[in-house]
Amino acid sequence: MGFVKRIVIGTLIGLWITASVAAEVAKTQVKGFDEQVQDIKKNILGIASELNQLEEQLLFPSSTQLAVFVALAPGDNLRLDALTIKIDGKDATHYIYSAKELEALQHGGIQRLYTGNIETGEHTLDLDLIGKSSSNKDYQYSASYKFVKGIKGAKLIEITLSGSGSKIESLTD
Amino acid sequence: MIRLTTLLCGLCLVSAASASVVASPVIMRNLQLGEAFYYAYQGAYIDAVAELDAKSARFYRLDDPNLDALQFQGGYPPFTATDFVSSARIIKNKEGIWILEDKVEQVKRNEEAYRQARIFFQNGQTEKALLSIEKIIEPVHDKIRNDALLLRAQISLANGKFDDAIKILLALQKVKGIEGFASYNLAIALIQSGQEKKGLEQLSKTGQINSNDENTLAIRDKANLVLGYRQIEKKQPVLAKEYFDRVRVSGPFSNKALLGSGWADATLGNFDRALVPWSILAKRSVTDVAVQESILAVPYAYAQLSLHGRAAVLYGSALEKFAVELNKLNNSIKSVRAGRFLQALAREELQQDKNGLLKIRDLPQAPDTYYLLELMASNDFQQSLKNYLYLKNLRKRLASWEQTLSALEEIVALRNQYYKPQLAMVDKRFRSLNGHIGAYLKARRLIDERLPSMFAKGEERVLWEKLYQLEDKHKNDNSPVAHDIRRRIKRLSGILLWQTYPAYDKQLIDAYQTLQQTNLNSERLTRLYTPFVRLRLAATQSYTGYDDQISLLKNQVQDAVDKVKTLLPQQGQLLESMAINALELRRKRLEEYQTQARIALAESYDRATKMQRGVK
Repeated sequence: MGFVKRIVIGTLIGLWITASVAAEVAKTQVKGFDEQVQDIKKNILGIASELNQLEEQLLFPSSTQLAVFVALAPGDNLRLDALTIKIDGKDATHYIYSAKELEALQHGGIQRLYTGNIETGEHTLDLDLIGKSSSNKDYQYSASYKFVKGIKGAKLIEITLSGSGSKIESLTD
Repeated sequence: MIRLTTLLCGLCLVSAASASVVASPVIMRNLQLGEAFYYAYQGAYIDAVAELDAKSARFYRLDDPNLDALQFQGGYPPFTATDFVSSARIIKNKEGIWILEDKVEQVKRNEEAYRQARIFFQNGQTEKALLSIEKIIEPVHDKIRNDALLLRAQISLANGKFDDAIKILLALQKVKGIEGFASYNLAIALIQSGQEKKGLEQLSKTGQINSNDENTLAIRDKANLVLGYRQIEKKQPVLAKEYFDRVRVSGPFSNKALLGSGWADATLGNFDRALVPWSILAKRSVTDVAVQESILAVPYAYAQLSLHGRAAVLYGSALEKFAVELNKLNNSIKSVRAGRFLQALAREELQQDKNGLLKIRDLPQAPDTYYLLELMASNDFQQSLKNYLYLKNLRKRLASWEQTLSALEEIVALRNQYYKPQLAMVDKRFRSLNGHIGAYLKARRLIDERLPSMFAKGEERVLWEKLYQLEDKHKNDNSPVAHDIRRRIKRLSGILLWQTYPAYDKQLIDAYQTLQQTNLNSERLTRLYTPFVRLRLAATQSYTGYDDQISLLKNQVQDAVDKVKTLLPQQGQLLESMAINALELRRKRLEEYQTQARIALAESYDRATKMQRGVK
């Protein structure tokens, strides 16, 4: 067999050995880093949870908190593009949906669309929806809803949307 | 040549079936759980778990959980983060509400155990994988039965339990869809358990499986490739060629098979035949290892066939190609060292696309990824990249949290500054008002109790007062004398009442009509009292008791910031060094080829010249 082939084979073996050693070192380092990252992840979850609670207590105490949730009716193929909420005639939020967010809603997730503070008493919630129906036609829908904010706890309002309208459910209080 | 066992060990293939972490479309009525799933379905697990944890912790802290929104759905225990991620424990009850189930069906537990075992195995945690897979007991759902068995065999193999692995794999060979995996892994198990002859026979069987499934065909090709190179090692080129010829020309292993086939012919001295596979190979993508070797092998074959002129031309062409590739590799290494590889990896748009890593090559000044494909597909690289991106995003999140905590601290301080003096004033006025209210309500109660006596004239009122005093004096005395006194007081009260009675009705009506207004005032005061107390409490709670919590969180965030500051560049450096190592290895190989090509070119040129001159 030729000189070239012997050299090639020798080179390949040498390089393979080098690669194997390097791979082992990398594997050990990868494992080490991975363990450190997993430790950090645990701590971060704890911090995130505590911070969430603190923020909510400070910024949105239950005596004044209003939270509006949005869900899609099960099995509905409404493609939600944008949603606008007004509270007592004033803009509360305008939200444009990404594909990921829409998919999450279609899978049954519920979005906390708005969190804010309002006084006790009677209020109005106005909803404007833009999207596409299951037959891919432009779809616009508006609705208005009255609710009362009491003193006892946070006011949670769930809006379930579908291609044929919306259903609003007021929770707590 | 690469040894058989090592080659085989590099190929623990895992079945394609996968169990998703989050369940298929669900109907949520619990808002907090629905919100957590909203984040989870987008892959934002930190947010999902943090939301649920926060709500769960708050639920446990309440003295009256009935007031909590989470409790609204009616008495179900809240989820912990682990429960959420492990969706096997989350089920829907009769009312359509998602709850945490204490007693989970074995079928669901099995799915969760399988999922965990897969993750541990892919991360190289073979002992934990074994513990997880051993939790699977009957009844097992059909959709994971065979995959779980295959995984159990692979885990047993990795843990040195060859007999267990062989037993399982023997049974799985007949299962359609995974016959290739089972057969191949059985061969590995036999070889590793010392039954090399049986293992090689099994490998040969694997190399002849009939199937239309792409994965099975790939396994078949790989088995033949391994056998072919083994025969070359054992200097059995004829047998080797048989195996190489079974490998598909268009599959993922065809390049190595073509190269091997050429070497088998070359070993037999049939260089003209060796040219066939090598010439096919030399026209393929020049970044492939086997193709680069063939670029050198083709002129070598021509030289062996005494066609030195042709060989010289081809060696020249090989040198040009190698020079171009070396240039690409050098530029790639420079690009990685300049940090552009990491920058490219961290780009947002690449993370949105599952094939995003392949698009790095399109970015300006980014390294060429053709030489990094194998590395980027490896578990170690993927895990390191995942960790790197996690740390990068975490750094931004921590910075945001630091700002949030400072802002919250400021809010608390401002509220303290604003409310404290105001509340002091409010408290002072409230105490005064409270006193008045108390006195008012006391007087009002007194009126109710003594209304009849209040219609009495001056003298009668005095008598009434005396009677009340006497009644009060003896009310707790149970002696016969006191009993007689009380009887006499009652009689005297009756006489007095009889005397005032004629005017009583009209006076009473007038009095009650007047009192009605005071009743309304009284009710209004009571209605205002409770909300006032709540608001007063809310005002205080808006700025007291947070200092320790904020301080603790700030320290925890700072700790995390320090850790990330250390770990992030280290993780990035690891990724870069993995890339550079891979590129340098290829560069070294190419440089060797280049050297050989130069030597061989000179040799071929020399011989060609001599042949032209007719010198032997």
